[in-house]
Amino acid sequence: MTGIILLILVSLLIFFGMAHRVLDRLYLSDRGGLIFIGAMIVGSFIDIPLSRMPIISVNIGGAVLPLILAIYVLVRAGSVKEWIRSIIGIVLTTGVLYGVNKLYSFDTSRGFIEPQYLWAIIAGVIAYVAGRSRRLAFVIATIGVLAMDIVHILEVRGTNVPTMIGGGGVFDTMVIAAVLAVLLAEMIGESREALQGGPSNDRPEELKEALDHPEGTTNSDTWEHNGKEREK
Amino acid sequence: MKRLGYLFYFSILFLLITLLFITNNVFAETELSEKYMTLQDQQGKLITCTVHQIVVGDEYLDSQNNLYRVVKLHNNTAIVKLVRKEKLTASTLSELKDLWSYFINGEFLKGETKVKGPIAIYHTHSDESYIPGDGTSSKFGHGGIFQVGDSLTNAFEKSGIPVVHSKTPHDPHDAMAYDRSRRTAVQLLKRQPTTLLDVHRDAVPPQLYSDVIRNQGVTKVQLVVGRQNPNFQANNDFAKRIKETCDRKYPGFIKGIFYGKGKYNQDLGPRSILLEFGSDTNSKTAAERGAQIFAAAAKDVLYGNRGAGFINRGSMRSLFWIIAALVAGVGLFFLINRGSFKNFGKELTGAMGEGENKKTEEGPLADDKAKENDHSHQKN
Repeated sequence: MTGIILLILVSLLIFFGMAHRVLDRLYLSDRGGLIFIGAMIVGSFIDIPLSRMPIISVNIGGAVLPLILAIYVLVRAGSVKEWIRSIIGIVLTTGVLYGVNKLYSFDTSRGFIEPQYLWAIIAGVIAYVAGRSRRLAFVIATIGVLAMDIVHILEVRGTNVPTMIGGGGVFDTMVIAAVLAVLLAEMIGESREALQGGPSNDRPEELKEALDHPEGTTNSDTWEHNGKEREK
Repeated sequence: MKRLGYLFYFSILFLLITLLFITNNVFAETELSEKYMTLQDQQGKLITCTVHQIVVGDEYLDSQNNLYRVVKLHNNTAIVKLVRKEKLTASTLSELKDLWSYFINGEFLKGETKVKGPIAIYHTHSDESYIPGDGTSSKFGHGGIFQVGDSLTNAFEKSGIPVVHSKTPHDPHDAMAYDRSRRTAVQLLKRQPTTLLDVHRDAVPPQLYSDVIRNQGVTKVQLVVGRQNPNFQANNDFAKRIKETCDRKYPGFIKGIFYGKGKYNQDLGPRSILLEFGSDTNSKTAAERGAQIFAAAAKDVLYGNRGAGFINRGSMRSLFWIIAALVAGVGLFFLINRGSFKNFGKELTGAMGEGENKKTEEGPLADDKAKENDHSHQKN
């Protein structure tokens, strides 16, 4: 059994390590990230029934907590432009996910990529193109997969098919797609910047200001200021 | 520079649109059973038929344990070459270890097995049905595959093995079906099952699955292992062990092991497997009998201790590949972003130095780090 236990342990550590790295990008401190992961694990065991006919339930760890975080990130977006980009990204992703789900024939016999990875790629790429943002990747992957659950509720109305939103807990597609989408957006962004020789300077002034002074900090708190202090 | 940026976005969008178009331009719910591919060797000998989309490099392990690889495609024919004859039997050392643990654990003396979790059964494609028996190949939400699952359940229970059989439907039969069945699988995992079985049926000509055992018509069983799956090695070894155990009792009953492109929720555990009981053109009764034969033949490996060492080696190999892939991925990421391993080395030692400082001056440096993180967000 040692091999199996080790395999499971390492897989979990890698997955939660990646999740923690992602949470680190979403306005959460290290401790906050760990608490959030802990809450998601505990929440994975709690399903809240929403409706009996059709059967709809929602899982705390796999849906409610990621959704709360996504909304929090969206609300804290720095500028109006970011808001608009976020909303366009979400609408675009939901539309593309719906279309791909209907067109992409996946089965043991058909398909070229695991769908769970495909949803993450779609969310990660659209998030980067629409908003050049890892945060947006998290938001649109979470809300995009959730939107597909809502589409599913409408599709199966009048039947006995249940919809367990986020029922997979920490291993639900909503969580895995969001984590992978953020990492993908990060890889695309960092690699692109490295290839073009550094970040571009054509950012809007409003965004620069919002990024330079997050959470109402003053000039003296900024990284540039601290950097200069350190150089001294 | 701006032009380069536009070019980059355009390339990504182009890639995304191309991806959309190379997928099958059919609705996922429709099954095209008449559009199957024939696998034959270079001498024209028929190996098998499949509705699987075949590409050069795909592999198939037949009932005789011959591993074939597709080398050429021509219309609906895939030319395969024999790679090797697989040895499915565990090594003598592994068998001895199994036997040793059997004695050491006292099961032999006690004459009873330890209390274990049940065998969990679910159906991702809950619509799958059999034309001879159900009258159609697909029944929304309550396919004939549920009765095959019942048959499997009864056979296990007759042998004293506890079973949890989930009949949760996951329709429609689209690309998100595995995302929905994943939730059922996770719910089943909370029952701490010994083995997780996803029961399906195939869609190929009936003769490929037809078999006769004890003078009765039964369907063969095909095992499917997902290749895009971090547990691939462990799942593959588990599948081989199941085949090897069944081969001893009913040679040829396991049609083969197909290596599919997804992961079919097999990343949830090393002892999870996808089974295909016959085709939509085989009779449901034959598939139900096939399920009983399978339960009788494979119960030792699905529920017993048999093969623990064998699967253990698969887990160790999976572990090695996961860690190797992780190290390679992180290395590549840093190489692209930091220019060279030299810079990466410097950063690493810098980071470690920072870590040591952090222990002594956690307060102020932790604040700095948080601000640095804020700055790194600017790259967004």
